[in-house]
Amino acid sequence: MLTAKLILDRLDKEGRLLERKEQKSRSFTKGLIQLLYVAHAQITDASPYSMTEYGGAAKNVDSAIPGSTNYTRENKCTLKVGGGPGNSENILLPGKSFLANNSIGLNDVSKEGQYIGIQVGTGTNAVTPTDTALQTRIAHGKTAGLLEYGGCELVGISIVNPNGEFTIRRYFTNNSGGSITVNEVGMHAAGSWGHYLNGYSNLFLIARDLVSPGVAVANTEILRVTYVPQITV
Amino acid sequence: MPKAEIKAKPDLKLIREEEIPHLLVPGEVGAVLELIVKDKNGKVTNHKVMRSRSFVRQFLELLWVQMYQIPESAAYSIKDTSNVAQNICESAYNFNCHAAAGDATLGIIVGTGTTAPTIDAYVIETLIAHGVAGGQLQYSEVTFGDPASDAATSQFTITRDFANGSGGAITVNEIALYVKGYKYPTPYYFMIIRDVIAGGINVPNGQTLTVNYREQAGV
Repeated sequence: MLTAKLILDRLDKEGRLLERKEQKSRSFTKGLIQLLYVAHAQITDASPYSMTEYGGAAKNVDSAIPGSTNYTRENKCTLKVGGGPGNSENILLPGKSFLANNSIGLNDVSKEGQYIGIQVGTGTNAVTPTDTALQTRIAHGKTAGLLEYGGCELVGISIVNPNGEFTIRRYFTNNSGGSITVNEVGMHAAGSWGHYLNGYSNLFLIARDLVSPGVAVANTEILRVTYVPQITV
Repeated sequence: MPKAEIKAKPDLKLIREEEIPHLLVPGEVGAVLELIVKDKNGKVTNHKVMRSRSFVRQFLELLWVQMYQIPESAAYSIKDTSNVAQNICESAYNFNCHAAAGDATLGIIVGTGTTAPTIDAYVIETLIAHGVAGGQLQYSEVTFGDPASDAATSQFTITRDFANGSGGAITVNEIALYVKGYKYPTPYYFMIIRDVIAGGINVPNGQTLTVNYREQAGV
């Protein structure tokens, strides 16, 4: 079985730990199962699988293997959760060459880093398997109600019988001028669709967890959110 | 007299919500393993449903490669089913288990080994080969059921049939899932699940074993 720990650390601006909350992640959503299905079944671009991205739109996803004439090395962003900070541009590789075919615009496969990987929000509704977005996502920024998203990083894969795990984490800095309470945490992973003349990449919710009571992050404080996926045989 | 070749044709059905087995607790991602033996008339002669216990290290490592999006220039070393460390990077191929009929190197694989799994297992212990000779089973194509969900669980199904035209009974004691991993331009093969079936499951001559892995996430 795969399980995950969820850890929220509230730090002061010097990085000193003020509060730690650790809980079992309860809520990998259907999005993870769908992306694994797409990869296992090698869903083709001609018969793609439709998923709902975090913004609510239906988007095709595939795991297409292009022909050798399409200037590709079979790169594919499926399940990507590592991402850059804030509004930094990230290319989500769609599986086929978008550089050699001008009709696939870079804009269709690039996303701001804030939307990739760990997300936080203020919603308190119960989690369901079919959730496709946080209830009320906190966006990246430094005005009222916003948090500055650091990069979403993966570190520390470790496998020693009978256990294995790695860490996914992200820092959120509150420079909004006021306190913000985080009640929900989740994770976006990438999926894409494309053939040699067209394509796009999108982000899908694969986990959502409630944090109750929420963690109040005062102005200038930092919130570190960590997911630790684990397997045990 | 030549042995009759049994055609193995998976019988896929859409799983209704009320039929989703709930063997995982909230927060778990895993698989439910269903084993069905049918005689030549389609009558079920044996049926087992259990929790799959054993994602092994290659599952976590391929998930790491895809979630991290490890590129060719920094490829990650993973042990393949031939006990060779292969450098793997993010790819459209990774996790592919869509095997053709007769392919015993990919998809759901069966064997006779009984040794308990460890996280470091990289290959099935004693493979049952594809064929109609003694001790062999005929591997069908691997098929898939679309993702479905109810109020607590989401899942999809990976299915393969194993027809016994060997002339004698065969006991399947272990089941594994093999997938592809990739570094341009070569795919390699990796075991991501291995389960040992307590007491095994007997497949008499002329009967067919259907294996369903239902990968699930519980909320």
